[in-house]
Amino acid sequence: MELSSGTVLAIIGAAISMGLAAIASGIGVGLAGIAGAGVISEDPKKFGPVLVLQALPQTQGIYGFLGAVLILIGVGVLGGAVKEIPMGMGYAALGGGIVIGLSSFTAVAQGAIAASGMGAVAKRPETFGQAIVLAVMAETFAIFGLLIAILIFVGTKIMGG
Amino acid sequence: MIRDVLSYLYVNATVMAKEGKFISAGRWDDLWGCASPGEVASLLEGTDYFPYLSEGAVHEAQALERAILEEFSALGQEISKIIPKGAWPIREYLLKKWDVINLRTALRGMHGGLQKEHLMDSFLEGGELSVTFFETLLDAEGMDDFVALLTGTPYQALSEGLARYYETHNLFFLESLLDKVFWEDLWTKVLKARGIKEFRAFVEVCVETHNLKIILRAKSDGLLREDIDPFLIPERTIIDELLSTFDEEDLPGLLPLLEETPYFEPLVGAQHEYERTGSVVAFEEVLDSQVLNKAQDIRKKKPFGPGPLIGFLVSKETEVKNLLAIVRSTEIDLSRDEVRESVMRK
Repeated sequence: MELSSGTVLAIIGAAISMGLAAIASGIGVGLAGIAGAGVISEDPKKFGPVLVLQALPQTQGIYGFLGAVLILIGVGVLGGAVKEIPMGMGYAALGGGIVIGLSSFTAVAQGAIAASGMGAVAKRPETFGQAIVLAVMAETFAIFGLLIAILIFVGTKIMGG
Repeated sequence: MIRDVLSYLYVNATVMAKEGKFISAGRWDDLWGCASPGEVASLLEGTDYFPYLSEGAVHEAQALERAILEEFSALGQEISKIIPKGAWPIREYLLKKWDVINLRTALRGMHGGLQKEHLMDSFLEGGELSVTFFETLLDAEGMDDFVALLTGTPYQALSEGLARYYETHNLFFLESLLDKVFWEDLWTKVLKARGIKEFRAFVEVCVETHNLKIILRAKSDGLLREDIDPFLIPERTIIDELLSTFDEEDLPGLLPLLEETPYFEPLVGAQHEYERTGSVVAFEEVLDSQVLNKAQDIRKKKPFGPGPLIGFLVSKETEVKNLLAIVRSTEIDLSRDEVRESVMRK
């Protein structure tokens, strides 16, 4: 099957969106997981709050997945009929994928915050709510990244075209 | 940055979880008023100390003290196993501390002429030297023999204090040398080690307070500069000015020389208590508080590095010191306020 250059660029955009987000979320979840193991080794009853905090950096991975799926649907890779899309749209899809992929690196900081939050919760269980709020703050920029990517996809007719 | 964060993540989370099990303010309130080891032991239920309490700990202050120290020693060993490789001086600090504690016990036993069987159970695992080694020290026939048995260990330097010890029969000289060996060795190592500047800053304060305690105690006891030189850790600029006028000034006259240092205000604050009691303990207490403050300061400034670990170690040591003071107070007749005053430094 011959693919147009625009379509290939869009597929690369999808790969970047998911690939970078997976790396970033993996690091974030890993950081939180190490701290979580430290807390649980001392107090297994803290598994619940630890699990919630560890899950937070996973959301950037979900955004990356969502961005990749939107691009793949837009170019018809998902759905059976691959479209021939122009180079300009291909670059736009690539840009959207890059935005999502890079903004996903907020998951690394979020993992570090979640790790500290676990320590705080282990010391004072009543700080669980505050620990979540602090960790969620880092999420904001990943959401902005996803929004900008969606605006690019809509504006360039990759979505809804 | 990520490497720093990663290497301390597990240990910091573990120690923060351990901090969650520190004795609460409410329980301290009850502990101040304890009149017997049994009462203290019952209040330790649910804490990390409880599994170490033997039957004897309920009736005997000495057994209770040992249980508290056993928990502290086991904690040190546990933490030393999870400390990042790059932070090896912190591991040395944790382990060698127990050598010093055991040696101090043996020294005091030898000085006080205690029977070997009374001291055999006083030594605790956790240091670099074995408990058997400390038991052998108890076979010494005198302090000369005792110090000779330390040959080959870092503590052989205690021989430098033997002459003054025999002259005065004051254990201060040997104990000061013991502390000097510990802090000087650690200080030399942290100066060479990389990536642990926060711990270096902490050790620096410990070294400075060690020197200041010796200077202030020596001045209070009317000693001369040449008497204390072997007990001070050199290369700390803070003591240069103090030593240059040591023989001319009296104790209150030495304090203004520290004006540019963080020790000045706390020491001046303790001057009234010193004048009231005539004891340098007032100064020693504020210097100990400076060590605690430094650890807490590092903790706040470096929350992702060794800060929480250093803060935890010092807080735990303070908790243990306070608990031991409460246990010892059950053997003497002290009021609740007197106990509280003597231990409330946390």
